[in-house]
Amino acid sequence: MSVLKPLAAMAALTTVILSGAANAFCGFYVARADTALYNDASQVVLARDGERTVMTMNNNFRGAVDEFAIVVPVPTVLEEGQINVAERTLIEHLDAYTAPRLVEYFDEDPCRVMQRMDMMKSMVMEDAAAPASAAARAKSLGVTIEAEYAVGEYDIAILSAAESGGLLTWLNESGYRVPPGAVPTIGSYLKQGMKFFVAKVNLAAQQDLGYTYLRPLQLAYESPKFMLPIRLGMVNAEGAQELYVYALTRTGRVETRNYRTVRVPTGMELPVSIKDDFGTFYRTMFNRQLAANNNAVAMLEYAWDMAWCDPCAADPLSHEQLRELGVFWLDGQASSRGGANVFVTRLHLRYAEAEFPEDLMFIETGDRENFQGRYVIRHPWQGAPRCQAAEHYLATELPGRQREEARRFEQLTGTAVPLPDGSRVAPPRDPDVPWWRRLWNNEAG
Amino acid sequence: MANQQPRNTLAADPRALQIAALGTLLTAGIAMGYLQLEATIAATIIVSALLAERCGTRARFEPRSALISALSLCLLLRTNDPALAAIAATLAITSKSVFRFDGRHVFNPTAFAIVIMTSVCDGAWISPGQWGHTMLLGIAIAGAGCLVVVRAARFDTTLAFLAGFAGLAVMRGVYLGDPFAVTLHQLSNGALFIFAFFMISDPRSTPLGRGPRIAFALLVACVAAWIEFALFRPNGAIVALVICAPCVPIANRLWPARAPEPVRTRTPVHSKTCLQGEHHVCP
Repeated sequence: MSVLKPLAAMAALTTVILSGAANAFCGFYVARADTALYNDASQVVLARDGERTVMTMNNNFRGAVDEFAIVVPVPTVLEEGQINVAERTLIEHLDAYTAPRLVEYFDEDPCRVMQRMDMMKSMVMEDAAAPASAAARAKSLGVTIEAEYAVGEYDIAILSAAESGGLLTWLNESGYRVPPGAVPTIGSYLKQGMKFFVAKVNLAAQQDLGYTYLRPLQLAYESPKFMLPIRLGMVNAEGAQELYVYALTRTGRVETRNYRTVRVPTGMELPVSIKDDFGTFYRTMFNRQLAANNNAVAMLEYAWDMAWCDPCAADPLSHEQLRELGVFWLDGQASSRGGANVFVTRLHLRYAEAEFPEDLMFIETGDRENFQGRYVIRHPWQGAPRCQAAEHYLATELPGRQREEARRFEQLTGTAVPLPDGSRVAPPRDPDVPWWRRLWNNEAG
Repeated sequence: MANQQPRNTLAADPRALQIAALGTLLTAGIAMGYLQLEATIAATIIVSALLAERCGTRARFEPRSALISALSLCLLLRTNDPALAAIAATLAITSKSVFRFDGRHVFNPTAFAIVIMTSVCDGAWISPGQWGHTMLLGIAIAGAGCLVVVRAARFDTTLAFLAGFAGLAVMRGVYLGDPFAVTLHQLSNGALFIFAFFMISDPRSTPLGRGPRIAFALLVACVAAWIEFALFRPNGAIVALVICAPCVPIANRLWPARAPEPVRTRTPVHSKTCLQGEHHVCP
């Protein structure tokens, strides 16, 4: 007997966004007092075309602002105009736009003609200057202060050095507490011809500007190196660190060149109950995926042409916002929402020395295929069955679908989820039922 | 008595083994999630390569060489556009007849197509990180590759390249004071192993003599290290192979191979020398 399969219509669509709001600089934290500091997460935006790069670093530094200091290896000496302080809202917006998303559908009354209403709404779930004597001292240590600037609330210096020991001494004497374990890494960067960008907060300037938090620092430079130095950041880190890289490019998706890039599982229907705690679901699934890949991969969470989105977790960034984030190739294009010729890639990784001994090297691919971490929940239709289709929907289709959703959830997270009737996921197949019974939906036959 | 030539059977031809090894790598790579390769792209590459081979040769159609180039392209070149896939495969095969010197092709067809495509087209690229850095995978690739290069008597090229590149990476690591883990990570790269065992070992685009061949492999290793570590460009080895390719015909002119390489065969040797009454101990 054949049964007409009811069409469960999508009546409404809601998007819930998991904001991967991250928390600290990718660089290297050093304290100016004995405060226990560690950097456990960072957000970095890399806008790159050709050999030109603009790097924006956001942080969630948790200590006292006057104890903040950062040391970042940079490929070239930077002029004052190459350093900028951005607004944090820019990165927050980009984070929301690219975040993994939960999409919600509602089954319609199976007895009614399918009507499609596209109602979308989105909500974001919260996650979360040296005196002359100092120059002489620097010189005696083989350290050259290439430049010193005051930019926004930051006092910045660009350093080069003959050898790592002298630089370490200078940094420590200047109030940057660098652990001795960093010496070989600093030495390696120096021999590669890299300079050191060091910054501290100027409290008076910050007070004048009226900010109570640290704004992201931006560096613009030209170098064939498309990379992110992470090795210094691991020296004083407690365990693995969370890193989000948002790459803005002209051609296509960015991936790590010296580590595997793996796509997060996406597009599947999951139990409705995850709506209440989508963040926990995503984190558990993410951890499991990382573990399955020995933690040595970068996970691709989003890759999309910035002119649009579907569904939109947040509006596409305007040309002005993109330009502020360093997208320099939009000059001359009409200012509008969305970025023509801008492709965004969101990579999420958790790095520790054992799995990530090398700095992150990137490569821009020609892949413009859109990808997003997207998860779907479908609310069942609830009502009194007035037709055969509705009876079938309630008796067979819905329980079957819910079992499948629960099984998928278990596969992804390793934890069981109770079914709506309180039961657990049944074994996938009853071995006593012949396989052909399940063909053509005629289990009864 | 008929002269005993080595039989051109599947078992005797290392190319058959190479096709099997490349096919296995491709299948395993897709099944294990290392490769994101659309079936249409793979099919386009293979069909285009075979078509180009068929149309470009007046002699008897010989699909094995074209199939090797096609499978190598499937492994290394990434694109979403079937047209670009077709162009890449055609480019690889036609390069063999266009760039010839002394009856041999100058460029490794796969390397040539990859370098041209990735330089000219935005829509074609290489994913050097796709194979990850698991030693197990490296060993598997090396194992499969060993069979092929030993059979093709080109193990010297592979070993010389790997030793040269590893030596330079270790020296760089020692100079920079980097922990050995950094160097080991640079070397335990699946893409590097694929290149060493399946690309530079190609007998048709390496010098004939053993000495020049080893020198050539070392030269490729030096250029590859320069591209990777000094210019900070990706895919150093493949680019280096194309850059160094013109050295091969020069080396072959300067140091031609003394004699054809011996082919081991289990067949008893009924040589003409015995029949001609020379004083050899004949079986």
